[in-house]
Amino acid sequence: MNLYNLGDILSKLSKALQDQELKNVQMPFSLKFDRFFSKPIYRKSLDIITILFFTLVIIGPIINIFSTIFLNIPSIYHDVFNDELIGDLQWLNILNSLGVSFSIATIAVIVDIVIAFPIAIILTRYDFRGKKILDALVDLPMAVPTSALGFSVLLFWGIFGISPGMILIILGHIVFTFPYIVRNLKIVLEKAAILYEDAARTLGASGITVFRTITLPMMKEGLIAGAILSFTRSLGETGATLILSGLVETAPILIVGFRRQLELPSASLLAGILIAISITLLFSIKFFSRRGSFSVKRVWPNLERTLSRKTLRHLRDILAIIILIIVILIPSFYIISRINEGNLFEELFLGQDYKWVYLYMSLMSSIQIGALAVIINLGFGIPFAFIITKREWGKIITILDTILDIPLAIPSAALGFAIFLFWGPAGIGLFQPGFFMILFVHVTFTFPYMVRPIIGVLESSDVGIEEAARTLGASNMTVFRKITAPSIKQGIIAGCIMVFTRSLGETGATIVVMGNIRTIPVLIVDWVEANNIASAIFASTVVIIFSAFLIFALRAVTNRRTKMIAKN
Amino acid sequence: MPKIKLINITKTFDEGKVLAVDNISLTIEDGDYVFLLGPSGCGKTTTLRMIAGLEKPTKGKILIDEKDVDGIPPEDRDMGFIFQHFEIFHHLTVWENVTFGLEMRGYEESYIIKKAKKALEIVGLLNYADEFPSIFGNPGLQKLGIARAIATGAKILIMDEPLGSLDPKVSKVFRHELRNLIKDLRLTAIHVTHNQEEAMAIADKIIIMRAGKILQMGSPYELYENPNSIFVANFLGETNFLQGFVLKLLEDNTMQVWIRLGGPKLLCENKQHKFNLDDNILIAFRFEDVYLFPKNYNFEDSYYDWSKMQFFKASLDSSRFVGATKRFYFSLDNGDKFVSVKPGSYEENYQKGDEMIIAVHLNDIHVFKTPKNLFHELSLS
Amino acid sequence: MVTIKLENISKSFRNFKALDNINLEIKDKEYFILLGPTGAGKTTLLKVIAGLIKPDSGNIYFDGTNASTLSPEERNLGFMFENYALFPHMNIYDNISYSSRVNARDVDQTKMIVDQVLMMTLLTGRNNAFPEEMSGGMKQRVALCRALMNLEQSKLLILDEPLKALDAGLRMDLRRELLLMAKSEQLELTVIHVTNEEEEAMMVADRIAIIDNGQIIQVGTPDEIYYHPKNLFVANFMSEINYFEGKCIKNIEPPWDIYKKSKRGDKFFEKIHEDSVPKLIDIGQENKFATYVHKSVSEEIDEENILLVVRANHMKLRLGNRLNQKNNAFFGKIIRRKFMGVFYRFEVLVKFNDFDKIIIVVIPASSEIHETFQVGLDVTVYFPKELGIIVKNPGKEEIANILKLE
Repeated sequence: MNLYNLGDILSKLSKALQDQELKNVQMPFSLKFDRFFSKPIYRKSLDIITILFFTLVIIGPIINIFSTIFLNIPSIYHDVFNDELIGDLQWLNILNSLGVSFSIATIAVIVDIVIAFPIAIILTRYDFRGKKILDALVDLPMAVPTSALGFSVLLFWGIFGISPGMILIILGHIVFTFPYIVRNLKIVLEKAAILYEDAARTLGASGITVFRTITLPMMKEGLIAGAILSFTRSLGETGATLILSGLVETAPILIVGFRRQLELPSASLLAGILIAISITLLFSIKFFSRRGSFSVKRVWPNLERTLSRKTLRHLRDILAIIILIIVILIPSFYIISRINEGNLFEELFLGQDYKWVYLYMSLMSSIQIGALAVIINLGFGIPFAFIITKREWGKIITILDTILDIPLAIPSAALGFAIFLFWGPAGIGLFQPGFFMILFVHVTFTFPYMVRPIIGVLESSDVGIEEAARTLGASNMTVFRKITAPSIKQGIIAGCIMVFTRSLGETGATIVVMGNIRTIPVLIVDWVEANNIASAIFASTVVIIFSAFLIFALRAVTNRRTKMIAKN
Repeated sequence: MPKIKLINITKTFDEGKVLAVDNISLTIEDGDYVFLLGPSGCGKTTTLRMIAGLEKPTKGKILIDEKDVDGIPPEDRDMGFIFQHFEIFHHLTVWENVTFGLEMRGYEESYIIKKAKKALEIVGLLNYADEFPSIFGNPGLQKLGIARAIATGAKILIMDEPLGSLDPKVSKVFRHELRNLIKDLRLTAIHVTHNQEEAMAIADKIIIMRAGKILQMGSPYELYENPNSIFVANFLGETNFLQGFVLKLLEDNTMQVWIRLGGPKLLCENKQHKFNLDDNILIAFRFEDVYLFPKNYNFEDSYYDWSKMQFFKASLDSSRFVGATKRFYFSLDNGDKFVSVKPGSYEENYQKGDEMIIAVHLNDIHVFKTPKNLFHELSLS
Repeated sequence: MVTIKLENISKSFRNFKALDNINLEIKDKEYFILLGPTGAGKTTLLKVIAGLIKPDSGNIYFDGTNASTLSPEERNLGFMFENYALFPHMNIYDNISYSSRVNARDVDQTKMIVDQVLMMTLLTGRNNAFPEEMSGGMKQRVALCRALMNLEQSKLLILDEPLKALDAGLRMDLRRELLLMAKSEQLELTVIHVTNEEEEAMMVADRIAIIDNGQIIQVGTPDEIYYHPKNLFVANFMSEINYFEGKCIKNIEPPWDIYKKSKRGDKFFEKIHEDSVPKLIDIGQENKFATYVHKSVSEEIDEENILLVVRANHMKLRLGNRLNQKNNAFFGKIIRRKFMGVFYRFEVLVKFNDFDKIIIVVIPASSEIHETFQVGLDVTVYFPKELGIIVKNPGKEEIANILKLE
C-alpha cells in the first residue's frame, strides 16, 4: 500500500465511522463478576486475611518462643544454669554447640565463596558448549534433601577413612551450601553489568583491576546478603548434620536432642537464642551492607596486569572445576553408585518390619504434605506478593518484606520447636504432633519460596500493560485475570516447584514435630541411625532422582521465561 | 463547548515535598490536537495522567464535557490511550489486542467485530489480525497501539511520547500519519513530548510547560512569532540572543538598542512602552530570520523597501551544509556570536573570514528584559 | 596519527549476522559518522573496533599495524558509551581519573588535568558528587571527560550515540560543541560517532558511512550522500522524499541549457554534477522530466525501470497551472498544509494516469507563504533539474519495505 494514498483511504473510512450505530451493551458474566469483586472492600478483606495468615504462621510462634522464655525464667534457670546434678553444664553445652555451629558455618561459607567465585564467573562471563550442563550440575546438590546428601557424603569420605565428626560436618556443609552461594553470585555478577566492566577495560584496566575496582564494589550488597543467608542456613542445618556429626553437637542437633528427651526449657532457651541471632543477622543485612567499601584507590597496574594474563586465568578455572568435582559433585551423588550394596532386596522387602511399606508410606506423606503446602502457599502467597509489590503502605511494606525472609534464616529445628510450643499441647493445643503440625511447619518454611519468585516476576513485569488494560476499561480483577496472571505464570510455577522441593527436603523441624509420622528425609535419618544401610541408600537414591527431576523442571520453566523476556 | 477544562490544578508528590504541577488552568476545544511541550520534569506527563485519571489532582477540578471527573477511574472516562513503550499485550493476538477495550465495555459480538476490523484497516494491519505482536518492529507496535485505542470509538486520545521509541527518521514521517489519522477521525488529542520540532510540525495548539507551570499557549504560529518569554523564544526553533541596553526612546513605539561592548545599534519595537531608557535588555531573533549580503552589495539597485531592516556588520567564522539547510556561523566585533540558517540550496560563495552585511527585519526582533539569572533562563531544562 | 582500517570484518551471534563483511577506512583527524537505523550493527562494530568483541573473521589495522589481537586495555582509545556507563560507586573525580589511576600515571599531574577538565566543562566543585545526583547533560560531560583522559597516546575517540539520552533541545547545542572540541588545536582527534539521526550526522561529519543490516551501504561526504544517494534506502534515510517510477527516454544533447546560472556565478551544481549524465525521464505524466544520472549509479540501474527521487525540501510551489517545459512540473491541489516553524509542509494531490499521488513539499516559511498558499488552491509543483536523483527501482515489495513503517 502506498504510504501516500493513506489520506484518501482515511477520509473515506472516517465518513463511514461517523455513522451512528446501535451498540448492544451486554456485559458477560465473567466481567460482571470481576467488577463486583474489584470493589475496594473485597481487596481490603483479602489483604487483612493474608496478613492475618502471615502473622499467625510466622510471627506468632516466634513471639511465643520469646514470651515462653520470659514466662518460664525460673524453670529455665533451674534446668540450664543451676541443675542439682550437673550445675550449669547444660548452659556450657549450649554455648559449646553455638560455638561449633558458628565455626562450621564460617568455614563452610568462606570455602564455598572461594570455590564458587571462579565457577560463577565462568558461568556468567564465558560462552562455551556444555555451559548449560555445568550450570545444571552446579544446581543439583540443591535438589537433594540434606539427609540424603549427608548420607552420600558420609559414604564417600568414609572411603578415605574420615569418620563422623567435625571435619565431616564441615565437608557436608560445604557441599550443601555451595549451590546457594553460586546462585547468589551468578545473580549478582549478572547484575553487576558487563557494561561497566567494558567501560573500565576501554580505560586501560586489566582483568584483576576491573574485578577489584568495578565488579566487587558493585556487587558488594548482593554478595554480603548472599553470604549472610548462606551462613544462617548452615547454622540451622539439621538433617545432614545428624548423620555426619558423630559425637559432635551443633546447636540444631542439641535442640533435637532436648526435644527427644522432653527437656523443654532448655530447648526453648536454645531455640530462642538461635532465632534471635538469625533475626539479628537478617536485619543487619539491610542496614550494614551499605557501609564499608573496598578500597578502589590503590592500584598496582603492572602486577595486576601480569596476574590477569590468560594462562593464570585458565589455571585458576581448571583448579576450581577440579575442586568442584572432587569436593562437591562426586560426594553428592556417590550414593547412587552404592545402590546395589548389601542385601538391599532382603532388607527392604523381606525383613520383618516391612521396610518397603514404611518407604512407600513416608514417600506418600512427603508428597501429600508437599502438595498441600504448595496449595496453601499459593492461596496466601499470591495476595501477599501483591501486597508487597503494589500496596503503598510505606514503612510497613519494608517490615513485611524483611520478616518474609525469616523462615529462610532461622534454623529449622528452632522454628519447628517454636511452632510446637505455640500450637501444640504446651500452647494453644490446637494441633497434636503429627501430620497437621508437620504441614504447618512446612507451610511456614516454604512460604518465602513461593512469594519471592512471584515478587520477582511482578516487579519485573510491565506495570505499563496493566495501566493500558485499565485505560481500556478493565477492572482490577479483570486486569489480574487476563493480563497479570498470564505474565507471572512462570513465576508461579517456579514458586510451586521450589516449595515442593524444599518441603521434600525439610528435616530439622519435621523431626521436632512429627509424632509418629515419617517423611522421607526423616526416614533416611532413622535408618542410618539404626544401621539399615542398604535401605537408607535406596531411599536416598529414590529421593535424589525425584528431586533432580524437579530441579530440571524448574530450570526448564525459568529458561523459557528468560527467552520470552528477551524476545519482547 | 470546551471538551476538556483544567481549573487551578495542582499536584504534589511525596507528602507535599515535590511540586509537580503548580496551579495550572487550561481549555481544550473539541477536535483540537494539543501538545503539552516542555523539558523533562516540567509536569507535562503528570498533567496528562491527571486528565487520564491515572493520578488524582491534589487541588483543583477537571471537567470533561462540562462534567467534573473527580473520582472517575480511567476505565470509565471513555478515552483512548497511546503509550511511549506501546504496552501491547504480547500474550494476545493482534485481533485480541484490538478487541480488548470493546470486550471490556460489554458490546455485542457483531459490533465488536465491525469496530475492530475498521480500526485495523485504518492503520493497515488487518492482514496480521491472527498473528502475535512479536512479528512487529516498533512502528508496527505503535500502530497496533493506535488501533487498540481508537477501536472503542473514544473521542479523546491521550498520548504520552507516542513517537519517543521510534527511530528519528521513522518518527518524522510517522508523525504526519498520526496527525492525519486524528484529523480524519475528528478526535480531540493531547500529546506529551519534549521534542519541540515534533510539536511544531503537527500541533494545532501548543502548551509550553516548565517547572510545573504553563509559560505560554497558542498555535505554533503564535508561539513562534510572538514568544512571551526568553525560555519560550529559546525553546522553540533556534534563536540568537544578544545582550544590550536601551539607548534612545523614539516615537511610534520603537527604541534604539545598543548591543553590549560596543556592538551594533539596532531599532526594535517597544510595544506598550514596556521598556525605559538604560534598561538592560536581551534581543532575540531566529536563525532563519537573518539575511546575508556580501560586503559590497548594492542596496540602491533593488526595489525592496529596506526601511524596516536593521543592518550591521559581522564576519563569517564558518559554514556548514546540513542537507535541508545551510548554517552560517558569525562573530560580531564585540565577540558575540550568532547563527544564520538558509535553505540547503542557497547559493553562495562565502569564504571563512568574509566581512558581510547582516540584515534582520524590525518585526523579527523580539525584546526581553535581561533577567538576573540569565543562565537559568537560557537553559533548556 | 590515527588511521583505522577494517578489513572483511564479520560477526554473528547465534543465528543472527550482526556484521557482514565490513570494509572501512577512516582517515587521520577525520570526524567520521556511522549512521543507520536501530539494530543495524553500529554498536557491534564499535565494540569490535574497541576490542570488546572479537570478530569471527577479518582484521583491524591502526596506523597500518594489525591490532586484531590487542585487548581493549591495550588499544588506548576513548570510548563513550550510550547511557554513559559512569561507575555508580565512584564520585566524579574518581570516574574521570580512573584511566590515569589504572595506568599508574603521576598522581599530581592527574589532579591538575582533572581540575582543568572540570573547569572547562563547568563542573568545578562537584568533585564529590555521585552519578545518581547528576542531570543527563552533566553525566554526558563527565563521561566525555573520562574518555578523553585516556587519550594520552592515541587520539581516537569513539562515541556511541552520545546525545541520544538528552532532551531534543540540548542535543542541538551539544552537537556543535562535540565537533568544535574534536577539531580544536589542542585535541585534533579522530572521531567515530555513531548515531541514528541523519540531521546530527550531517551537522558534524567529514564523512558518513550508512550501515543497515550489518552492511555498509554507502560511504561519502555529506554532500555526496545527500545529492548522490546510492539507492532508495539511503535517499529516504536522509530526508522526506517523493519518488516516481519511470524510465529514461534519451540523453539530453547540448546546447540544452543545463546549469542554472546564478547571479553570483555559483559553481556548486557544476561541481556536484561533474560526473553526471543529463537524461530525459518519463514518469507517466504528459510532460517529461529532465535530471541527472550520477556515475555512481549508472552501472546499477536498468534504464527502463528507474525511480526518480526528489526530496520534499527541493520541491517548489507556484500558484496556478504554469506549464514550463524547462522546469520539471506537476499540477495539483493543496490538500493539507502545516506550519512547522522554519518550514511549511504541504501535501499536494497530483493526478497520474492510473492513480493519484500525494507530493510532499517543504519550503521555508514566510508571511507570503502563509498568506498565499491556502488549502484547496491549484498549484504547480516543480523542482530544478539539478536536484533530481535517479536510483534503481528495487521493486514494489522492497519499496514498501523501505518506506513502509512496520
